[in-house]
Amino acid sequence: MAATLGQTSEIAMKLRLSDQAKRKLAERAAESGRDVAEYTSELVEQAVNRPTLDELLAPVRADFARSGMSEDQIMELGRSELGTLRQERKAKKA
Amino acid sequence: MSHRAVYDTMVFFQWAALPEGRQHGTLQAVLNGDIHLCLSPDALAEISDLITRPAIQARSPNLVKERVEQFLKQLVERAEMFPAVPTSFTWPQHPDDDHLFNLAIHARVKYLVTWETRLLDLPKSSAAAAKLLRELAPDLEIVTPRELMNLLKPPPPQAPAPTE
Repeated sequence: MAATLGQTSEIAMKLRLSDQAKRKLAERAAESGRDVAEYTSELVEQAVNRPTLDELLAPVRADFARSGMSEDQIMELGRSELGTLRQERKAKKA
Repeated sequence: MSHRAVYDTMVFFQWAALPEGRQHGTLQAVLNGDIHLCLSPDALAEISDLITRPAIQARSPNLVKERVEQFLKQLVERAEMFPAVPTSFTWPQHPDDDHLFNLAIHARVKYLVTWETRLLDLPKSSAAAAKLLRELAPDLEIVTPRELMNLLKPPPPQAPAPTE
């Protein structure tokens, strides 16, 4: 699921950060051996390129929709599996 | 204003399995900051174990390890994690639910969100566990996802006062 990055370009902008975030950013950039701008660019790249929760879950939701089960049946499956999971855990502990 | 909440495992399952727009308001509320989600390692492990059950994965070939890990990672990033939750509460009839209540108590949340009738009915019961819960978390409300959405709705604008 890794994104392939294309051409890059520079954007000038001002960031408004809390003192704590600013300090941590500097610390983490130093730990990674990069300057703050380079490190921040990488953070932004990662944040905007990774899928949102909805995008991440969309194929799973589509699978369940294709399964032919109704929403009630899907929820019942979840409840039943959760019950079994808990029973199994209890049995392991005993 | 952000309200602190604990979500039951089935709410996360619902996010993953049901189509867009079906009570995913609980997810949206976390994303837009209306809900400050509280999680514990126990809660996270139960979510992970449930969605990776063979019977669940058999319905969704896309529930692969990498996707599950990304889902859990994003949950952790968007929640406040309580790594050590003390056991102050137990419900002898349903000890499997203890981790949710203990997290709710420890994290001082306003809402425990669940579809489970047994959890929703507990505060109204006269059981010893209900009394203990009221003592430990007097402000805790146990609500369904639908009720949570109604509670988060902004109040309707006040009608202008009639002019004389």
